[in-house]
Amino acid sequence: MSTSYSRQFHFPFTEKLKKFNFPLFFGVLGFCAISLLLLYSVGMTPCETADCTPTLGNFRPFALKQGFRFLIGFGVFFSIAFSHIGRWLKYAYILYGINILLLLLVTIIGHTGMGAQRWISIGGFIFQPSEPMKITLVLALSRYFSSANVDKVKSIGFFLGGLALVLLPFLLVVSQPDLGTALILTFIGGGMLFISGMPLSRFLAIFLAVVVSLPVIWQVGLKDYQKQRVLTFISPDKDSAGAGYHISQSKIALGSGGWVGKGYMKGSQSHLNFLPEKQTDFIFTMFAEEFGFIGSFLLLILFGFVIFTGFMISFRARSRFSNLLGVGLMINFFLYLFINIAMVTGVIPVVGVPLPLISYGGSSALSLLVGFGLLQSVAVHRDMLVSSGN
Amino acid sequence: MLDGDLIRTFNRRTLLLGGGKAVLLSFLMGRVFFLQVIESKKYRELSNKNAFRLHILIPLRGKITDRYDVVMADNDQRYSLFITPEQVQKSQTMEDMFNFFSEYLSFEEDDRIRILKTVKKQGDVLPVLVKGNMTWEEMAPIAMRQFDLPGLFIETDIVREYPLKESASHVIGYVGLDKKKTKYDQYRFLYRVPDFRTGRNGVEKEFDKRLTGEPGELIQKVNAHGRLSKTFKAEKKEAIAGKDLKLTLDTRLQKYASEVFFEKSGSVLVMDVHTGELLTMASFPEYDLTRFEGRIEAEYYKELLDNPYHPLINKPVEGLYAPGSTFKMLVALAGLHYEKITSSKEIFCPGYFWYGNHKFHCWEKRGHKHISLVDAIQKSCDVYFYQLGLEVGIDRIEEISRKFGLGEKTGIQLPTEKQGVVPNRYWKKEHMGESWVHGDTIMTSIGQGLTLTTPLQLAVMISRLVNGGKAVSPTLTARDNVNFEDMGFQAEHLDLIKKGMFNVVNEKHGTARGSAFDVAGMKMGGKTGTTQVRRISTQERLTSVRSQNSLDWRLRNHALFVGYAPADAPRYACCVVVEHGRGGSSTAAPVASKMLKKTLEIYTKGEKA
Repeated sequence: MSTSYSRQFHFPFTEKLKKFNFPLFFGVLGFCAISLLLLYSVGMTPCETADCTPTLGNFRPFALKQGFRFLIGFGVFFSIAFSHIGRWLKYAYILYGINILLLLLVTIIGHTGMGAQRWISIGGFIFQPSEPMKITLVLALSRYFSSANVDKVKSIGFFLGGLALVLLPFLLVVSQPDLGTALILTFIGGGMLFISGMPLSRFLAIFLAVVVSLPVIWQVGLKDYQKQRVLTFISPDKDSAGAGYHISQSKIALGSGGWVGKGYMKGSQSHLNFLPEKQTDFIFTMFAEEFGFIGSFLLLILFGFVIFTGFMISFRARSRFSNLLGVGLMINFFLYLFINIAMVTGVIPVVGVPLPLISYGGSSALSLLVGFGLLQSVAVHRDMLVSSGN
Repeated sequence: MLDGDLIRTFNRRTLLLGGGKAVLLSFLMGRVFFLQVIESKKYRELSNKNAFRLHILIPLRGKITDRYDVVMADNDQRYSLFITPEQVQKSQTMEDMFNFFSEYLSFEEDDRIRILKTVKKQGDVLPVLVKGNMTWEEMAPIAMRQFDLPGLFIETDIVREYPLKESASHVIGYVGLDKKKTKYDQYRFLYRVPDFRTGRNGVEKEFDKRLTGEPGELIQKVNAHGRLSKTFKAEKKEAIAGKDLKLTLDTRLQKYASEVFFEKSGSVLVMDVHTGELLTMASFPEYDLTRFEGRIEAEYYKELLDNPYHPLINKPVEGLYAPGSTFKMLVALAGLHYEKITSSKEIFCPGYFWYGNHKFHCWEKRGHKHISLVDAIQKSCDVYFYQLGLEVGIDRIEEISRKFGLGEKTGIQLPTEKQGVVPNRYWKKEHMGESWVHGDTIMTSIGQGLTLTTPLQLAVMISRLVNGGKAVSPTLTARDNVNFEDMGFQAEHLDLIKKGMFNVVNEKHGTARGSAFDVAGMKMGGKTGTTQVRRISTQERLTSVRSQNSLDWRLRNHALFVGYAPADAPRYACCVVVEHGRGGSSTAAPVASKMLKKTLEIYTKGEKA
């Protein structure tokens, strides 16, 4: 299986820039700006003297660091955006493989945080390999399915191969355990299988298999704290000081925001620490508390717009790899945001998924920017035909 | 290279996927709308409850003073010691602190257990009470070491202080916890303060709202750990202190009443007959108000409850007594007013009066022989008033009684006033199921029937008799308008009554002859009354009445005296009731005499100066 993406014709940078999707870029930039605005408000200026009042709003400890990450992230974003899409097709499996190895490494030597092993440190940086896994899985699946014709797609062997690509990282992530990521990986896999033309009967089979094995997963697969989370989700108000505290306080913060919100830096739920994890997973709640329904509505519209743009880019690309890659990345992005907001609004259990590009955190921000870089590359190289050959 | 089929499938399914996402995104918007707009009110309340801590600032209670600004009720500081476990543990253990407490305070094992329990319940962050209600003397040794002992802090409480101790205790009343929260609306916020006290009796209760003032608020923001938020400034609304209350009482006279009242139980009242201002209102036995400061001492309270002389009853307004001979003036005035008698008409008193089959006795067994109105008052001839009462009739006796303030509340600013009884035909039928008979009229005429009055009503009665027939009413606070309605009695009739009362004190055969005084030409008039607590048996009457001294205290007669001074231009009225005091002339009149004399001495001097 040889890969051909050799320079078929000259493609100057100015041409690339013309095809660069600016709406997408500014949408992404918008998220990053909102993120920094919120993270700045969480920072607090400590007191020099005993009787002064500390003021809210500081670049430390979050905004500055996240800004730095965004800076690196955009560097990566641009270099990927203008890099040849064929290169990513070529290295898709290799990247996937490296990521799998990193996940294995986490299981062996990873840092433990909040009852789960998720992080490893590489050269002083703490790194969460399950975040890029979502991107590398999309890459690998795009490559896998781009090479297949109708008959091959419908063959059982090909189907099982695709399933294996999903299951491998899924199992590694579940064993950490990281329910949120596992969920996202499952849906990415399902989505990719769906758009690649897999017969619908296979989905039914998988669905039935999952339903049958659910009790087994509950008994064997889930840790106690995960069971607790699911139970808490079912009746959060029963024990609002205990496990249901997060959801209850999150709903209070959201609800008390009303139409227009309490104003920037004036959210009492978030700034008086009633809201847990306000700079990470629950950042949407803080945003909604301070900017009200109008703010949340506009933010969701912005998310919708970016996803819509991503879909349009995928459609317009001429190669199948790019089609699949673009939609896969948008599935990933959508899953982040849907799971996060559904979680903080009490629709689904708390599973620990950040709000994409807005939550504080390096691994997810970087991998998301890598994802958007790839999407831009799809846009830039939309007229280029690439394939791994048959 | 690519199948058209696959592309079409991709396009179709991607559209489907995109549509699904749009639906899910709309669902999220709906969810956010539901939380942020539809259910917003509920969550806003919860959010406020989370973040705000409301402190009620108790307003300083108004002082109570007498008419010359002598303080009768004041505020004093008491100290409470608190400990915040979180701050302690940095330097010492809680046990170290407990040892320290037991060294300097009366700190028991119970206190230790209570503190540890509280800490377990509410956590380390919130302060726990170590000991409350301490004076500065008790607190000083702790306060001096406070700065070496982090985690301790002292809070100042305000408690009520009664500097007069016993004097005027019944008028002042006291403050205490209102466990039933009876005045809930008025003190909605104040009731949240566990130690908030309201007036429970006396003027403390009657003027409670004015004395209490308006509560203030301190709104603080707290974070999720219960610590004060450092980034939000507290909002504060200062409390408005209660207004001071100035009474008409004169503490000098009030204290003097306690000195001169030598019996166990009764009332002393001194009232300005023109303005209705009460200069003295004393109920005996008095109780020690200092024992009611801060927390009311349960043992002391029980002691008061068990006391046979009922110190907790405010007798001037709660004690009900037959008016006895003090009632005779009203019958005399009714006789004159309704022209049933003239001042010169004489009635023969053989010492008894037959009506039907009943023999009614005069207190003077030998009889008063021929006697006219002024003499009948002076000598308190029962037979004269038996006959006059029958002439006048119960309906007019009732009418005149009511005009002089009997049978209804005077409206004095005290919470427990009783209204007494002025009987008539309906009243007897209703309450006793019997018809009114002439015998009832006869007994009513000498104040021994069914009539019941409070000492304050008697003070009002005598005031109205001597102030020219004006319908004065009593008060404990100065009033602007002192023009009272003229009840329409002729001056000469009233003068005849006054003449009779003057003679009671100042003539040879007057029943209160021993109590006369002369202060720079000013004299006293009045009327004694002795009312039977039980009926005298025929046996006793035959074998000559048993000496009152030999009777059990509880069975002795009540002694009454109503008086006024100066006799020629009445200004002050006095009513003294001595419960079971045997005779009006022996125990009540001397007290009234001293009170009026002192009043004249103080006020004529004051007026001259």
